[in-house]
Amino acid sequence: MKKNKKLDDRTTVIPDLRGKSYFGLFLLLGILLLLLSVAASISFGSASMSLKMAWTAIFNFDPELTEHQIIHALRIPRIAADIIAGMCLAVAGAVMQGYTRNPLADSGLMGVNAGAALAMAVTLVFLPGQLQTTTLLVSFIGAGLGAGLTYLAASLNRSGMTPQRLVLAGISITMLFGAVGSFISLNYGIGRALAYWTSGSVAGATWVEIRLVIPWFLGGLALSLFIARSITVLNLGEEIAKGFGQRIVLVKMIATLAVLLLAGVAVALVGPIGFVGLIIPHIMRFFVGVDYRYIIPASAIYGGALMVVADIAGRLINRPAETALGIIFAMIGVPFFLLIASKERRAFK
Amino acid sequence: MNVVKSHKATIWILSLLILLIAGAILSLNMGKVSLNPLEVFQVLLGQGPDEHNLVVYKFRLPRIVLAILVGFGMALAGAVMQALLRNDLADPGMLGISSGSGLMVLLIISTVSIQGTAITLLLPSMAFLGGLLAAALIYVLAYRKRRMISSTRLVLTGVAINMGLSALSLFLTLKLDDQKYEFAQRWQAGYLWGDKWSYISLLAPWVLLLFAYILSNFRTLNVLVLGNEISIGLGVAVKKKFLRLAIAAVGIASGCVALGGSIFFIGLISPHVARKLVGHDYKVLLPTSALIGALLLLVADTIARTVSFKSDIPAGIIVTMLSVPYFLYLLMRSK
Repeated sequence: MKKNKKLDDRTTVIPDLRGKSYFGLFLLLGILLLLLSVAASISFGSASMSLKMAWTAIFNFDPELTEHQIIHALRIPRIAADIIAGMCLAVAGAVMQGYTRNPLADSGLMGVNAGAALAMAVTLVFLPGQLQTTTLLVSFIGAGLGAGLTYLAASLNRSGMTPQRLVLAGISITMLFGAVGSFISLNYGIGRALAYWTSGSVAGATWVEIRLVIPWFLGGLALSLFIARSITVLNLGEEIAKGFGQRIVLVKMIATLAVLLLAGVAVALVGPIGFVGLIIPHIMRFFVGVDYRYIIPASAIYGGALMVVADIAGRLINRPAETALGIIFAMIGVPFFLLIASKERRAFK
Repeated sequence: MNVVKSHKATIWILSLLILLIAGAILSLNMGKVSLNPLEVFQVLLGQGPDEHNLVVYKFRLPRIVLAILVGFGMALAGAVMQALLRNDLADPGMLGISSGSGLMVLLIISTVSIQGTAITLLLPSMAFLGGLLAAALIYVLAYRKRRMISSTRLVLTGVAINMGLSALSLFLTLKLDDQKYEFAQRWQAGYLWGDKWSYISLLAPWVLLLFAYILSNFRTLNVLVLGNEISIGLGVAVKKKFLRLAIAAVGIASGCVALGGSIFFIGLISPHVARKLVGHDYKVLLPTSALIGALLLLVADTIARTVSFKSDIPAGIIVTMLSVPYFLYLLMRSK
């Protein structure tokens, strides 16, 4: 504690641009937004429910009522999956952007999604009809494998990891895994099943899945918050971070672990969705400044809210069919990516 | 020094050519119906039995010629793009051309039946158009008034457009029935489907003509690699030349994608290997990388044709599996 205090005096370099009260207000607004979207998501559906009904379903559950059962068995797990996945993706994106100093970092670009998709293809063919828990675990492992290989390929270089190298390694791992995946899916005729999973959906979320991922989710979130301060310092550049006596390798390892946990949870829950992790941290930086102690919690809240809203949108567009989340986010994400790329291309020089 | 180098390059080009011809002959012998070299030889002399004639002229030879043409064209397009963007890691797939064609193909097959005669001309021409449109879109988005085209900007824009087009493709894909879906998936994975003489007779002059144009501009490419400022200093009309060569490269790549699907990595890998063999002079680099591309795709497609998997595996998948490890190796070695 004492040591931290001392570090605080020395690290006034970290620009603390906005006041704490401003941040508190911003976070409160986010929570409000989240609650509103949750309420909208509960009452909206093929069978409309009043909010009062939802309230009693949660706090005064009556198994006799069909409405209560729908809310309890279908809508709430779905919303929980939305929130968890949104938080995971946004925080993973923030951490990744922070410690790689790459403004375009996103789990979709870093081999995580490709790894999970390949693992899913393998599961569909070789372990058909498995329990959801197995599928969840397999896509988790796949995500880890994809990210691990991408990092390995990007960093095994005398001059170390550069943002551009990371992007290229991500693209090539994605292509390799994609090729193996389409080999498997063509050979065994599982193409369409795989495409549905790839497009991203929370429609089938269950309590079992939610309970299964919660420890990993909380672990990843805690790790991210724990190293938030170090990421801020690291984001100023490795030389400066070294100057502050930061153990860079350790921080990077913890950050990688956190990203793996979070991205793995998200991809296992809703499928490989890109762009959430790209968009949210950028918007947060705009509002709360460059300190990751603020960016990370804010990303979590707003990421969760965005996912809930996107899920509602997915149910609204093209009714009665559902539009996949991956498609909705690509529509928002591509213009956003272009904007960031044009603003921050200095990072790629 | 220079003389020695060009001598070495000539030897490389000649041996690649011989290797390619040998590979083509070998590939003619291989396949699900086995023909021995003597039988193939008889067919080529016009003395084979009808069924052998059918196998060779209707199935094997057009596919081999197509593989060679597409590999040749993709590698050439890649080499030109790497020079124009001054980025060793650029290729036609990364720049949205493949996903542009892919999307167009999906649009067609989701609205029209895949059978029928009209489709056989419609598909390749729309794929061609899609590739050109995607490239034009990327160029327009990356363009800034009164400034030189930044290569980083082009690459990043390409990545973004690629992702957007892929999402749109996914959206269409989900609505297809099983048979159409499989066709679309094959296309996206790089399946040499256009192996009919009528298609090939359209593609071959196109590729060769643009090859001649690009090759005649080897000096410009050599200068462009040095950077825009230096090029202007040396008196190259950068913007005009850049645009013309880019259109030529996109034209070749779109033509190849139209008949061979999205074959990534040939355009990326072949120029790299070629640079290792013959150095950086585009006069020899262009033909060398084109030949390497042709050889690579021929080998990949022969593997796809010969090894019996449960399903007909597109050559693009095999190319990717063969070349990504090499690409990652390059990435690790790059500075």
